[in-house]
Amino acid sequence: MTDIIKVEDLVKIHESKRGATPVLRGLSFQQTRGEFLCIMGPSGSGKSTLLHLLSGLDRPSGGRIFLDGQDLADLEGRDLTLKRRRTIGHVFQFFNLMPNLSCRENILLPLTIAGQQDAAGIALVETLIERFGLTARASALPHELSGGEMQRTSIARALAGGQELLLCDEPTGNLSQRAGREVMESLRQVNKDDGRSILLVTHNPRDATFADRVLFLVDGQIDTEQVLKGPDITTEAVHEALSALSI
Amino acid sequence: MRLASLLAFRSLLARPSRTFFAVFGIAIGIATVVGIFTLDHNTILGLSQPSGSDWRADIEVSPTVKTLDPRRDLAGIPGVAKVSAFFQNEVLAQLPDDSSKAPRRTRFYGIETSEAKGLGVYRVEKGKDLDPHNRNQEILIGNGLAEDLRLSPGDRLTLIRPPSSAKKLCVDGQIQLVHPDKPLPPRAETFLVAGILARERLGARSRGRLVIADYARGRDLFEGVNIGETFVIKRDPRVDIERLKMSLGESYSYDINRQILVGQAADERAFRNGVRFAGLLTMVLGLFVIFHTLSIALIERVREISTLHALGTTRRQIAGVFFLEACILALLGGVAGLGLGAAIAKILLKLKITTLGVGKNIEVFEIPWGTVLPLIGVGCAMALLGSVYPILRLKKGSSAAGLGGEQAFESNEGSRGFRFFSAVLLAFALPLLYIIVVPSVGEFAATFATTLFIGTGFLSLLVGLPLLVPEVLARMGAWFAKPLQRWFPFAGLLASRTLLERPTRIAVGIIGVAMVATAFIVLKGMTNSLSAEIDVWSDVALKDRLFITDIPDVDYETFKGVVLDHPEVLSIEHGSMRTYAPFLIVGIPDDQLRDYGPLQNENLLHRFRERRGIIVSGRLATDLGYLPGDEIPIRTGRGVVELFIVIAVSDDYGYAPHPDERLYGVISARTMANDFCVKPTRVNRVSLRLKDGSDDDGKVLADLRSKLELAFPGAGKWRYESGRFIHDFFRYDIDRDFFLFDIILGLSALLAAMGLLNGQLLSALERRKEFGILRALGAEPRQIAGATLVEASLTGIIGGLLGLLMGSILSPLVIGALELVSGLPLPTRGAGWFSLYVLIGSWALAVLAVLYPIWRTNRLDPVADLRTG
Repeated sequence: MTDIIKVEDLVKIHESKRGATPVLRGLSFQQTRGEFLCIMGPSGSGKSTLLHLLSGLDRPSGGRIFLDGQDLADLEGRDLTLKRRRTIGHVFQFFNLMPNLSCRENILLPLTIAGQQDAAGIALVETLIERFGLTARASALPHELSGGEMQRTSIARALAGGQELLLCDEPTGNLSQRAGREVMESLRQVNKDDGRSILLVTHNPRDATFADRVLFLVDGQIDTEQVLKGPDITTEAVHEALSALSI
Repeated sequence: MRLASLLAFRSLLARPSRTFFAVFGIAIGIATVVGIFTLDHNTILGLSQPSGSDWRADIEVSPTVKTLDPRRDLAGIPGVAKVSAFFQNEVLAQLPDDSSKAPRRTRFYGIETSEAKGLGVYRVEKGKDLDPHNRNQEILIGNGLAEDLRLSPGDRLTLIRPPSSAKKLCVDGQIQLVHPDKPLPPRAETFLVAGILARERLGARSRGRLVIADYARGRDLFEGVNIGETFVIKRDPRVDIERLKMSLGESYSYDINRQILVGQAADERAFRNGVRFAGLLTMVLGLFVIFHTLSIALIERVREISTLHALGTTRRQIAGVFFLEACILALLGGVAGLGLGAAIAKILLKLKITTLGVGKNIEVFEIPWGTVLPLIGVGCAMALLGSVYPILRLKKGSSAAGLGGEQAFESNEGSRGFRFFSAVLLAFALPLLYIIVVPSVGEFAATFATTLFIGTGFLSLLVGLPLLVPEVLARMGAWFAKPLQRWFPFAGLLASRTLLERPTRIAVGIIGVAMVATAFIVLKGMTNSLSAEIDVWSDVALKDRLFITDIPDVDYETFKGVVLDHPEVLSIEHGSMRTYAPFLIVGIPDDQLRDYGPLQNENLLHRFRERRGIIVSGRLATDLGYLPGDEIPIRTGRGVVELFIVIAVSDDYGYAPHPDERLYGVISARTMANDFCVKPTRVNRVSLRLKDGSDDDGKVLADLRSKLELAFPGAGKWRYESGRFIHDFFRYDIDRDFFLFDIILGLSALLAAMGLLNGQLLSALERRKEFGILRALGAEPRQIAGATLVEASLTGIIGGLLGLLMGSILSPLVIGALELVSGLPLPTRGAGWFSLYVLIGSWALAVLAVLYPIWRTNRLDPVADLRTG
């Protein structure tokens, strides 16, 4: 089985007028197809930067990223956009829903972008609306939704395009504990039932317990010593690992 | 396309204020130019509406004896588009097979068949036109004659030359009946009726009882009859009327159809071209608004665009959204601009404001689609060009940064390359496009071309340079802001930093204000110079004068006796001896002219009286290029063309109000009587020359009025006007006429204010995080508003000062060009105290424009701004 993500010696340096700031320093890891992988790290550790690089929204300063077996360095412009469109679904901390589109239209958006707004697509969207408990709110605009509803809309949108990989950037960071749990359960369900690969970056230990594997990002690198897998992933274990890493 | 239309429409509906400002900006720009051109079109149309539907040639000329082949000579004169020999006479018409009835007296016209169509002389309603290749024995007849004689095309008609009769001519000062030397016997010829004329143009004359034949055939029919050699000309509008008149004036006596002169005089052309040029200013400012409005759309939607990109939307698709938005805005703006422009034109016409001055009643109203549609096209194209800016910025945006709510696009400053593109677009491409769509009125003569290029050059300088080197203006602003920091430490500091950090936005704002300020300064300089010209002219023509008009034709000698009896009256100018050939000629008894002006010279006086000497007014001399010693061919009352010699150029004699005519010549009353049989025995208007300062003295006027009342009961009701009164009226009239410019510049100021408003709003949105931090640190909304006000004040003041500087440089050039174009000796005058008002107005405009952005800034949620940027 090929890896959905393979990262080798990834380096990212932010250049500015005040000089260069290294964010990622030779980071390497793989994610297998269908795996729910969580990457944890403190604020400023480069978690979001990593996601931007994986989705091709940003370019690395060094190293290589293989997405679904394809080296992103070989792709440019439209090809890169199409690769992202076909492979990756995004779930953001701040939801990033289109403010002028209804809940239903937001979920339909990836299909609209791809020009696949056919009957099958619309039916799929209706299924997603029902699945994420948004039926009553389908016509509401984003500002009329609760945080949990917005994030569930965001997940539904990420699934609508049929992408194999979901990149989730602190998806519960802006939600209440209860809403956060609901969102995480939804993501777990998506992973188990649909077989979608999920890469979650978070600093919330509770969220990490939903993953198959937890990696820790420290000083721009993955700590190979501290890796949690399967049943070892408990809130306490995550806390311990974080303490050991002085996070 | 579905994605683009979905997002574009939703965005426009979700942000009604931005949509409104964008549409309003485009609409105002388009409405101004559409309004100007609709107004100008209807002004010319309304003032040149022919009385009835009669035909008159643009120009009718009679050659002098020295012209050997006038037909050929005329065809070679620049400004003559078509020419045809032409004559008319009486003829008797009779059916060939019905000699029992008396022949009908009918009008006969001879015209060159090959040229008639080009001259637009007639329209054939039935049958066919005269065939230029087979013109023998064919005629066209009017429908009145056709009805009377029940004629149809293909019928025959006999035309009989009537016996020659005596003519009334002015011979040596006497109207005489001049009989032909040899009476000609009647001559009859039968013609084939080729067609019947529609009752319009020439076909409408004599109630349709007329015949048109080929010129050569007509001459054959009237062989031996003394028919004057006359030619009709169709004017080529690309050549200025003055140049044509000058060329004709050398060898021809001419009569110009006054309808074609509407709006074509040099000063009128200058005024109309000035109005058109002002339209360019609004176009540039309109683009300025659109740039900013669409940039606001970009900044407001940073996160939205980044999300779309993360979801796999290509940059082309996102650009498509912006382009579609721009198209919708342009379309709405174009339609609104058309409606608004038509409404502006209609309202101005209703208020009797025209492109040829105020107070003219225009009955017609139509939209000149041929000009208006391309103009709307230019406006819409500009709106679409405006969308290039955000699309280019979009290309360089960082989606990753946008998702995090950080600065996703480079600031509003734009790259140097883009600024260069904007400078070229605004400074050259747009003016060029405008000039192509909107041709100038009249000949593209060297003078006008120079003025246009200088004007566009300065506009380019004003627009282009600050875009290329915005730091210069920004540094100037920061320098001005420094002292303000003493009184407003926080606001002053914030404003000066902003000025330095965002030089392009500040420079663009300053340019907008400066352009309007420059236009106001130049306009005021122009009106001041025109007023000064009135002062100079009135010193000669109006000073110490009293004009009496509306006199019911009284005996001149009695009148003269009464007024000259008053000790304050020095002399009297008879004003009723008038003829037009081809300009106004006034005859004045020379005994009253010898004490002032050029006729104090005995030699000139002698030539004036004895040798057909003519004194031409200053404006006529400039207009037609007359100099002392020139010969002017004029057709006299004897039916022949005589040469009059220009003995002086002077405004000392001959001016009379109502109608105000400054293009005229003065000849002696004796010549007027001899050549035109107009005698000075009766008078209905006079000009009195008074002793120095007497026209200020109401007592003189009252005395004269009562003296005249005694001699001519009812004289109290005549119109008495002092030279000073007329002078003051002329000055008032200039301000009134230029009111149209004030309206256009007012609209430009509105656009400049909208540009500032948008720019400031854009800045507020870009800096929302900064404002959020300041609020978190305890800054009050009014402190942040204070910084915006300081920034706006500096933008307004620097813009105003720059406008004063540019206006002061441009004014003498524009006035110089106006002097050359209009032929008026214009003294150069500046804007004077008005400059101060312009400066205050610039400041007020900038401050008013930021009130809305301040309100919007205060409504921003600092918590959300801090959290998401």
